[in-house]
Parts: sequence; C-alpha cells; structure tokens
Amino acid sequence: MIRRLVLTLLLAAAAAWSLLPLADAGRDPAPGRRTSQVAELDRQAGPIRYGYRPGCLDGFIDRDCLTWRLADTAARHWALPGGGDSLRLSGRFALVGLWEQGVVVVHDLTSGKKSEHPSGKVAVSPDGTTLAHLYERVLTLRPVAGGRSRTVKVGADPVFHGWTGRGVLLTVARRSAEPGRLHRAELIEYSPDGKRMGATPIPSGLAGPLRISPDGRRAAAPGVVLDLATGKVLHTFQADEVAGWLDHSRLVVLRSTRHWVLDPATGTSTPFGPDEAAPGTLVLNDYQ
Amino acid sequence: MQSEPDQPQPARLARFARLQRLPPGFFSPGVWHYLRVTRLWRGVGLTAGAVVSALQFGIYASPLLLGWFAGVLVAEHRLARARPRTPPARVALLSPAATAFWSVCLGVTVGLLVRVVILDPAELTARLGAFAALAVLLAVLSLLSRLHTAHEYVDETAVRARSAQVLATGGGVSTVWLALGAAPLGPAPGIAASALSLVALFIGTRPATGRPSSRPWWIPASAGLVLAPAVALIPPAPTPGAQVHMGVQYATRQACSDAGCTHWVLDGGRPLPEADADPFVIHPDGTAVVYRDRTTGRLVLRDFLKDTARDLPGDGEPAFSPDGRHLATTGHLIDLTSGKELPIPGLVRVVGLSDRAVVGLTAPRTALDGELVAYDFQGRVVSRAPFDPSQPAWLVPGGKEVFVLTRWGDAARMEVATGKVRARHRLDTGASVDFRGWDGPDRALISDWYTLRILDLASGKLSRAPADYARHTVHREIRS
Repeated sequence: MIRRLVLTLLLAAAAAWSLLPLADAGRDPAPGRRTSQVAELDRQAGPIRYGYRPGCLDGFIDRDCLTWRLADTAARHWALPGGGDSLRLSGRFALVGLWEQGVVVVHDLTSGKKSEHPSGKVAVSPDGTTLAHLYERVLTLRPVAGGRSRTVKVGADPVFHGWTGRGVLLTVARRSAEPGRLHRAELIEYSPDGKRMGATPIPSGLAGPLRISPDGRRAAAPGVVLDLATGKVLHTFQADEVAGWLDHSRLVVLRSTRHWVLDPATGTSTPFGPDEAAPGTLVLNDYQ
Repeated sequence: MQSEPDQPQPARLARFARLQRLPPGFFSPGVWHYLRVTRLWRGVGLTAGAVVSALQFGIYASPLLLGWFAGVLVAEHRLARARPRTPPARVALLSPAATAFWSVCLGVTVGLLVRVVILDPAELTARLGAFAALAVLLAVLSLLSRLHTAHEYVDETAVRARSAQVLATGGGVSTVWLALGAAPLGPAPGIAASALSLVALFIGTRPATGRPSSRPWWIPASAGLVLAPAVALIPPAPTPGAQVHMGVQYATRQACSDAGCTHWVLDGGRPLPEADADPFVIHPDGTAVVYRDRTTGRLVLRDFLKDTARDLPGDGEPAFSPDGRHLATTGHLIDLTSGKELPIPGLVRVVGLSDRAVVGLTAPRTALDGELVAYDFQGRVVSRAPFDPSQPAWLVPGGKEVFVLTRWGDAARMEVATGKVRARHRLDTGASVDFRGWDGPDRALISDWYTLRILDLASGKLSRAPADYARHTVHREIRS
C-alpha cells in the first residue's frame, strides 16, 4: 500500500514538473500571432489609426492571416476585404497595392467607394482632395473627386515620401563626380498644383522612404528624425523599421520582432500594444 | 482486431519449450494463455509504433521499439493482475546477462534523468520524455517485483522467466532511448543506444529458465546504479559557442514572428541568444565573434578558444584586421594579442582594417560631409580624403581602396588616400542590394533579396554565386 502511494506521488510530481512549461505558455505570446477573428470593415468603424497584417501560424498560411486589419480610434479591429500586398493609410483612405495585378486600390473608408490606379507610390493629401501618384519619374496629382490631373516629371531615381501640410515630398538624387561621393540627395516638395517649392540637401545614405510627422515638419527613417526645413538630423535612435508617427512627437518603430512607441527626443520607448501585427506589417495612418 | 484462435498451436508451444528449456512436448494451458496474451498486445503495440513511424515518412527504430514495448507492458500488466498476490521469493528469473544488461540500463537511465532535472529544460517535449522514461522504469520494476514472488509450478516459472527476460532487456533499452531523448548527449550516445538495441535483442531471445537464489533479485539488478552519478555529471552539451573546435564559418539570423528564430545561429546549429541583431562580426579565423549584448547593450568579444567574453570599448560596427590581430570599434583600436586598447577619438565609424592600418570616417552616417581617414596601428593619421559619410562603405582587401554600394544601385571603388573614384558601375538587380563579403580582392559578394551574387569590381559584371558560397564565405542574415 505504502509502496503504491510512494510510486503514485513520485509519478504525480514528475508529471507536474513535465507540464510546467505549459503553465508558462501564453503569458507572453509572440507578436504577430493571430489572436481572434475580426469582423469585416463596415460603416460602424471609426477613424482608422493603424493597419497591420496578423502573423500566420508557422506553416499555415491562409486568407485570414494575409488580410489587412484596420484598428480604429475606439480600438476596434476590422478586416479590410480583398487582401493586398502593401498598405498605406492616408486619413480616411486605405491604399492597397496589388502587385500581381499591377494596381493600387484606393478604398474610401467613409463612403465605401473604391477606385483603381496604376501601380506606383501613392498618398492622399491631408484634406482628402488630391491623390499623389509616383511611377518611375512621373508624379501625377489627381483630384480624388475626379477631374483634370497634373503630371510633373521629376529627377532621376525619385523616392516618394508622402504629403506634408504644403505639398508632396520626394527625395531625388543627383550623380556626383566629386571625390569620395557618388550622389547628392535633396528633398524636393511639389505643391498640389505641381509647382516645385524648393530643395533641401540631406545625407544621401538617408534617402530611403521617410515617414512624415502629422504636422509636416519632421520626417523619420530607421535610425533618424530629420528636420524637413533644414535637412538636419534632429535625433538618432535604434530601430529596424519605422511604422509611422503615433502623434506629433512619438514614433512607432520595429525592433527585431516587436513594435515600440518611441519618443525620439528622449529615447524612451514603451511596448506598442496590443501588438498583433506581424513584424514589419504595422502601418500608422499618415494623419493621426 | 482479430483475436488469437483458442486452439493451441503446437509449433509455437514447441518453440517456447525449446527457448525455456522445457521437456519436448510440454504443454500447459497457462503457457498457451501467456503466449496468446503477450502475442496479442505486443502485436498491437508494434502496429501502433509502425503507424507512428509511417507518419514520420520513414521507418524509424524508436517508435517501433517503444510501441512494441508498450504492448509488452500492457500484456505483462494483464498477466500480473490475474496472478495471486504472494510473498517475495528468492528466485533468479533473469539470466546473468539479462541481469547485467538491465543493471547497466538502470544506472544510465537514472543518471540521465538526474541530469535532465539538473539541466532543467524549458521544452515540454524534453520534460515529457523524461517523465515517460521514469514511468516506464517504475512500471518495469513493479512488474519484475511481481514476477519474483512465490509460485509452485514449472510452467509458471517458465513464463515468468520469459516475461522477466523481455521486461529487463526491452525495458532497459526503452528507458535509455527515452532518457537520451530528454537529455541529449550528442550523436555518439545515440549510436550506442542503437547498438544497445541489438544487444537487447540478442540477450532477450536467449533461454531464461529461472533458478533459486540466495539473495533478492533486485540486488544484482541494481548494481548498475553506481554508473548513475558518472552519467549525471557528464559535462553539459556544448553551450552556444563554448566549445568550438573548428572556426565559425558563418552565422545566420532569421527574422520571423517566433522569438526563438531571431537569434544568431553559428554554423547553422549553435544559437547565440545573448547577441543582438547588429552588429555581428566573425573573426577571420572563426575563433571569435563580436556582437552587442542584448542585456547590457555593450559590444562583446566572445573568444571560443579561450571560452571568454570581454566587454569592448566603443560602439558602432566593429571590424577585425585580416590577420585577426587587431579589432577596431568607434574611437578605439584593440590589439588582440596584447589586449591593449588605443583610443582614436576621430574614428567615428570603422570602414575596415588592413594588416597595417585602420580606415574610418570622421563623421556619422547622418552628416552631409566628412572625411575618410587611414590611421596606422599607433593611431597616427596616414591619409585624409573627402568622403560622403552616409554612403555604405567597406575596405577592399589590400587596404588601398574602399567599396561603396549605394541604395541607388551604384557600386564604386574609391582610393583611400584621395577619395578618387576608380571604377563606378550601375547595378541592374531590380532590388536593393546588400554587401555580404569578399570573394578575393576584386570580387564582392552582394545579395539582393535571397540571391547571393558576385560583383566583379573591375568590369561591374554580376554573376550568381555558387550555392555553397553563403556557407563558407560570409555571415548573412536571412529574412522570412
């Protein structure tokens, strides 16, 4: 009898020890894991703050985990039907790139209307009236409500950033023959009617896509915040990617596999949460 | 499930009598019942093991063995339940070889289980493996005890001896397999466990007749426990990088949604979880790496030969000299032979080292203008030239030129002494490119998305790198 009791207790203790890892599981879920199903986007959605794609469970890629989700200001999450490869949020517009079809679909999230445009880099102006579209070296400024478009031929290898409060911001690089230098890069802004409004030199190595702050005065790239008026670097920080500006002073950045809210002025950061976005898929609305 | 026919099969009975050294023509209903029950459950277990093995798309020994032995345990349990409970008897049912085999397996298993508890694995599978080994061990011991109890008949002795023989040999090898799965010791013990199975098969199929004994059965069967401390204290499996006998050839880091796959992994197998994503630099002979510690944020030189980790001064992207004797970080040059650290205040970013000089930049990436400066190993300036500090640049082997690769797809060589552009090419890869390493003095390895290419610096010609280049020439980062 005692022997049986000892054996039972020994096995019970061993079983409890074996199953301890299960108790730890789920306390800190990996980011980007699908946690719940969400409803399809409808008119009840509030203003959208950010979008993301939930991560696919390893080896199980399905339609749901490839669907873009939008989070509104009431922290409700909605599924944006139709899938897509890239997402940009410009105010009430969601701009979804479909690479295979070679189109960008512009969803008006308020009216539910959709329009298709040729592939390229796109953003809608803060007042929601003008769609900027860059393809190769041609910048097209197209009224959202329809009407006459303006096209501008820009410099070589332009990089599209988006809208400031004044116009559309691009980086253009010029080849340089100076010793120790291959390019000189400039920020160039075009007004909504297609006029070039000035050029600001910036370090050529920082000429990747920038995230413009909601007030249109600064822009962030991985590692730096630039003053758009002078091209000077205001702050440096550690990040793999910049998802966008949370407000006028704080960024959301990706470090390794997690998203963080970062104040670039002080360097302080806190976890962005709930972080359901697969790493690198979080996109903040251009106009918070 | 089809049950066994009730009619005794003379051939099977004759085989059993031969194996147990019973008189020819010996028959007893008890023996026939024993043969029916054991054959049924062993068959069920073996079939289950075969199904599991097939589900793994192959024929694997461990599911077959463990399935079969699970059947043995069920059969023996059913037989034991039908027997009357009697006091222990001084009888040796196991042959000396089976006793020795079980004894060794018991010692090894107990040692391995202690080892698992000491290592305290976090993985559920390792813990469940240890639990299964313990459960099987206790089940076998319990059944062996029940077999070594008083009884009267020759046929009962015969079946008990056969049961004990099968339990000791099959149980011994099964517990070792399970415990090894929970506390892996590397490939050699795995091979030994496979050999153990053959030994078990040989011993387990030898005659076992049972004989009177002057001492309890468990005394000789427990002698192998003396092995347990030695097994438990075998030095742990190599911790990441702690025992590198050959130099590290390459490292990978896969960025994905699982926290575990963001670690750097050396040579495809040894994780270095304490290392942050950037920077990560491998010593030229592979005996050390430099990384940023995730916890402290400091640069660390991890020397695999000395098994040491040393905090380094400075920051930024460090670089080794080609002979491996010097290491430069932002503002510092370290002589790895003497351990001396030489401050170089103007060195804001390291471009690379030759065997005689450190080449670096005087301004950060965020500046519009700067200079490319070469310092000798005493920290004296050898040359200065204007340079765009935001351009990604690497020192070309030989130390006289730098290689620049811009996000605009331009690749160029520039003289260190003057900044003069010696060759410039536009790369038409259709994607942004990253520098990965060198394939000789005039051939750079670059990658666009998942393709590793060789760029001939003189002609600008791009060619796809051979498949095994990623393994042997560069450290790389894989994104998924």
